[in-house]
Amino acid sequence: MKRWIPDSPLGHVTVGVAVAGALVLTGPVTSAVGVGHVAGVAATAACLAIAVLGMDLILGVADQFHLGQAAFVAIGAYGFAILRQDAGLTTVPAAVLAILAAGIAGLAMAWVFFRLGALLFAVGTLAVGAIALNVIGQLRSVTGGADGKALQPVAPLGFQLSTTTAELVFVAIVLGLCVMLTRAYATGARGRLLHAVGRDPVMASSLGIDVRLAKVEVTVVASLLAGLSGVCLAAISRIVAPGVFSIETSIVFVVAVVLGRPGSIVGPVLALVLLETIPELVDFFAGRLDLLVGLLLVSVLLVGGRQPSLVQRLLPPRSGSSEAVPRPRQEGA
Amino acid sequence: METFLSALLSGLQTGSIYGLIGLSYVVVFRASGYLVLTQGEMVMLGGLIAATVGASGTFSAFLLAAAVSAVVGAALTVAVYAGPVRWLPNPSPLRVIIMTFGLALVLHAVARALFGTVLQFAPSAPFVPNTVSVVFDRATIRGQGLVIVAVLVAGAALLSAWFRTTRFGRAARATGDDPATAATMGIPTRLVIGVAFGIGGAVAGVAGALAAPLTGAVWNGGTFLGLKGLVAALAGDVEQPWGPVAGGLVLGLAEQFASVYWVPGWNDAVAFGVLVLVVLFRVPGPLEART
Repeated sequence: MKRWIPDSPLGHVTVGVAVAGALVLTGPVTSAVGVGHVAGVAATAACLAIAVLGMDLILGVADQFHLGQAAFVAIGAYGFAILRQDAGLTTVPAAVLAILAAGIAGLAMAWVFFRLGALLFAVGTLAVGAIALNVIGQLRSVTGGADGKALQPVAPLGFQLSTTTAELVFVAIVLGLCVMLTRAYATGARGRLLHAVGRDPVMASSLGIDVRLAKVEVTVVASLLAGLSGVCLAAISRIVAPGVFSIETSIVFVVAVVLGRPGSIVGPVLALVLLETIPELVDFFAGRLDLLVGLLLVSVLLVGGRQPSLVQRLLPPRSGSSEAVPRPRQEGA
Repeated sequence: METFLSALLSGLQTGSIYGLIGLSYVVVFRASGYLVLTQGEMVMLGGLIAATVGASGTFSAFLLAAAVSAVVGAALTVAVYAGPVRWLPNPSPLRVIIMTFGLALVLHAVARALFGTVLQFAPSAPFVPNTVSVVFDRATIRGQGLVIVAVLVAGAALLSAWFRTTRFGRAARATGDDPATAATMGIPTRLVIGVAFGIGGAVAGVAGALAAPLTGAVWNGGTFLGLKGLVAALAGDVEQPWGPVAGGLVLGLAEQFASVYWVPGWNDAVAFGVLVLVVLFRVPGPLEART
C-alpha cells in the first residue's frame, strides 16, 4: 500500500510528532474559536485513541473483530488506580504493572479464543466485555461500583497534570510515541507477517507462519496498548468510572477504525478524536454519541464496502496498475 | 426447599424470557444464516409500546399492546432486511452483525427521544392472577411468568411445525441451507427471508410486551436482553425452534441459582460466562459452516 510518508524510521518519527503536535495545538485553537472546553474532551479522546491503535492492529492488520477492547482499557485504568491508591505504589511502577495486567488478560483471552472463526471470536470478545462490566459493578469495595474510584492527582515522571494544557501535552507525548512505535511495528517484518495472516490465514499457514501465535501476539500488543490507554485515562481524569468501559465504547473503537481506514494507524486515531469531539461541537449530537456512531457505522458499511467506488469506475484505470480495481478482501479466519 | 423452589421458578420465568428472545434469532437465522442484533431493540421497543398502549390494564388494551408491539417489531425488522442488509455489499454474517449493532445504536437514540429515559412497567395480563402458588403452596410464580412460559412453548411448537410441515417453512429451510440452489429451484428467496425477518421481529416485539410487566422497559435495556437471547439461541440450537427453549432455561436457571446460592448481582457474568463456554465447546455445526 502506497503511503504518503515512507515506512522508514524517519517516517515513523515524522508521523508521531505530527500527531502529537496536532493534539497540542488543539488547546490554543479551540480557545481561539471560543470552544475551549473541547480541549479537555480531546485529551480524554486521545487517551482512548491509544486503545484504538490496538484495535487497528487487530482489525486492520490481523482482520479480526474484537468487541471487548474497552474491557482491557478498564483493566489498565482500575489496575493503575488500585495499585496507586490502595497498594501505595508510585506512579511508574503502578502504571507498568497495570499495563502488564492488561497484556496478561489479553494473552489469556487470545490463547483461548483464537481457534474460533471470525463470528464466534466477535461474540466471545463481546461476552468478555460484558463480564468485565459486571465484575467492575459488583466488586464495589475494590472498584467503587457505579460511583467509580477516585484517584489522587498524579505526576508521572514529575509532569504535573494540573491544567488542561498539561494534560494535552502529556497525552500528546504518549500518543505520539505510541503512533510511532505502532507504525514501526505494523510496517516492519512482524507487521507484514500479521498482514499475511489477516489476508489469507490458510495461505499464511501453508507458508510456515504460525497463524495462532501471530494472532495471539497481535492481541497481546493490542491489550498492552489498551492498558496504557486506561492508565492515561485514569491519570488525567482522576476518577475511574465504569460508564467509559461499556460495550458501546468497544463499538466506537471499531467504528473509528472502519472510518479511519483499517491498518492506516493515524486514520483511526483522528477518527476517534473527531467522534468524541463532534457531540461537543454540534448541538444536535450533544449527548447522542450512540446515534452518531450508529449512523456512521451503517453508512460506512453501506458505502465503504462497495468496490470499485463510483469515482474509481468513472476514472480510467492506470495502465499496468493492479490497484485500479481493488480485489475484495476476505473476512476473518 | 422453599429457597430452591423459588430459585427454580424464578429461573424458569427468566429463562422463558431469554428463550422467547432467542426464538426470534432462530427464525431469522434458520432462513437467512444471519444473526441480527437489532432483536434486542425490538424487545425494548415492544416493552415501551406495551407500557404506553396497554396502560389502562384492561383485557383489550393488553391484546392491543401485544399486537402493536408485534406489528412494530415485524415492520422494523423487515425494514432492516429490506434496507441496510439487502444493500450491504458482501453481506457476510459478520458484516451483518456489525451493521445491525450500528442500527441498534440508532434505535437506542430513537427510543430515548420517543419514550424518554424512565424505566416503564406495562400492566400484567389481566386474565391471570398476580401470583400463583405451586407445589403445595411452598412457592409462588408470577401469573405473567406462566403466560410467558405458555407463549414460549406455543411459539416454539408453532414455528417448529411451520418449518417442518408448511410449504413456506420448508422453503425457508431450503433458503437458509443453500440460497443459490433454493433460488434456482424457483423459491422466492428474498420474500422468504423477508417473511422470516418479519416473524422474528414480531416474536421479539411480543417478548418485550410480555416481559415489560416483570423487567420493565427502558431505552438502553435492549442490548443486554438481546445478547442474553442470543446466548439462549447459541446455547440451545440456533437451527431449531426448541433450541432456545432449552438454552433459555439453562441460562435462566444458571443465573438464578448462582444468585441465590453463590453471590447476588453476578447475573450478567454468569450469563456471558455461559456464552463463553458455549462458544468454546459447542460442536461445530451450521453456524461454523456458514461463517
